[in-house]
Amino acid sequence: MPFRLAGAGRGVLLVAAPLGVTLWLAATGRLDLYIHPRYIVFTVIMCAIALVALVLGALARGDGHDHGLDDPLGDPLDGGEPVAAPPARGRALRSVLSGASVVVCAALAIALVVVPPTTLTSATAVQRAAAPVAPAAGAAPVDAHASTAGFTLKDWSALLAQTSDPSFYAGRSVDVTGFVVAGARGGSTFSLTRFVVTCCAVDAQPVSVPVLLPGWSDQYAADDWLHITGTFVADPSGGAAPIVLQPDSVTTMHEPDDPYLY
Amino acid sequence: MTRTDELARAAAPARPRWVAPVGVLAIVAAVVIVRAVTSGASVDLPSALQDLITLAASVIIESLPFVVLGAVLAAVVRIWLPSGLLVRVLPRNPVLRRLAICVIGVLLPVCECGNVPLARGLLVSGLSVSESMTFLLAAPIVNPITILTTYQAFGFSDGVLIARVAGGLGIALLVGAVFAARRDGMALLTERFAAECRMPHAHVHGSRWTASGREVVAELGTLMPALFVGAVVAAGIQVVVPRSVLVTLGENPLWSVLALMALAFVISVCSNVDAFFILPFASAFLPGGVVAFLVFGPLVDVKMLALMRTTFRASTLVPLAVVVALAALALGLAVNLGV
Repeated sequence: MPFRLAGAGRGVLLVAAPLGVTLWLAATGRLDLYIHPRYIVFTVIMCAIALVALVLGALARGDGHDHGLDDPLGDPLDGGEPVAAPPARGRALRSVLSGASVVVCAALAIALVVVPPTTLTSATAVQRAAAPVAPAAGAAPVDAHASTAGFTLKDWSALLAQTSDPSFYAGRSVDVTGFVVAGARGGSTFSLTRFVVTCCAVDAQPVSVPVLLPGWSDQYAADDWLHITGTFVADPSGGAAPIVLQPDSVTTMHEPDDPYLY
Repeated sequence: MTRTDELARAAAPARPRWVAPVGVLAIVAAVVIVRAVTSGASVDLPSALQDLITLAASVIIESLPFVVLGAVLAAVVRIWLPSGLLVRVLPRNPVLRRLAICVIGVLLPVCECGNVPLARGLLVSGLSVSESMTFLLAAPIVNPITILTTYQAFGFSDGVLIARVAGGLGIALLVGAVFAARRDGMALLTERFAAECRMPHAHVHGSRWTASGREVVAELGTLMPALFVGAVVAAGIQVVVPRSVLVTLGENPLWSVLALMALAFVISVCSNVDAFFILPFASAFLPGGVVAFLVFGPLVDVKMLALMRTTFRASTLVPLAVVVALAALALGLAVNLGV
């Protein structure tokens, strides 16, 4: 029956699309664009189990033991399509919702398979910029004599939230990587930003440090990845951020293999 | 399946048994090949659309293993456990019975999306609707990983951990009691799923392994469309609604609770790790808001509503969401006001 065949194909695709994409992402080392690395092994194991289940389920279909009610690959999209026909008005609404669900599912399945995997952009960083970054999310409080060698953007961001005393930063060299997010203060400052992920990209929160570089927008655009070395100084322009990163060198670079911090 | 379908199927020449599995593998292989070919393509999408796709994909990829795990556990309950075993071993007193069902959640490190297929399996195996609902709501919060991560994030400060576990348990029992009052529990279910529950316990044809595979795929076929829709809606709201709208409300005892409940509803983050997500917000929001986030999110969010819609009628989910929301709000306010 055409509807049943369409339903079966749809069900297989909605399982197979994320399954195939996840396995490919894992094989190419890009699964961490979407989930925290600690979940990769678990995810791959469960995908392998799902693949085995798909094969076993297909074998069961081959046995001809389809009871009809729970067509394994072709349940309706809302899962609640009544066995008995609903009234005409309800049927029309249900058809519209079901049609919209089909479009949404198909569009996302195609996007999953076709749109190249990538990180979140600076648009989301701006959209989430108001999210607070407490010291608890980064490093433990740092005393005045503690070493800051090897600090990442996340560490520096947490440190800036702890202290704005310029003397603390004197003599401490900074070596950080991130992407450009336009600053709120116009031409002289931008935010060097990374996303911090606790579970998956959904919970990614931007952390950033303000970079003082007059005329930066003539050389760099939002989302450009930069490697910057320099030192933190008191903002000479007296802006909103008391401490800014004054670069000694700025180098453009490709997006790193591990764009998120954890 | 209609009589006509059965006749047509009987008249059709039998396909070799290997055709269907090979077809499934071919589809997965085709997905992998297309993905590999298009990965280097240059697609210049608007940032908002690009991020919507990334966020939706992230929801699906993060949830997929848990949904599969839940479907596997559901298949174990339906195919491998002796028929009616769970119904027999649980206490007969309704309250003790629901409490015991909550304890099952302690034993299962499955987050909320994995609990949907498992709750469906429990329903089919004979538990009542209110009992399965109690399990569905309690399990994400009382499971050991959720408790451990909440402890790692907050310790015992501000009573967040205690309030989360006790509050989640209390809300699950409350909802279970509310829906247990319904005489016809099956009326709470979608007609399709209620019909499946009314069927005699499935007798297993042939191998239990292929029957288990069939059950797992049936659950995935039902839940994945719902997960897709939930992922797109959750991602869409996140792209459109600025986070600053919520964060500015953090210092008010009432608004801090409502704002973080709204955030929990939208982001649909897994209960196993939501404590780490909300930790940075703890400095800007009162602790009652954090507790409400940690209790409300695992029970009712965009993704969960879409998943639960596979099983429960909309007319069931609305009062369920309202009861849970009011209870979470009351809990959050109680924490904020030091009651």
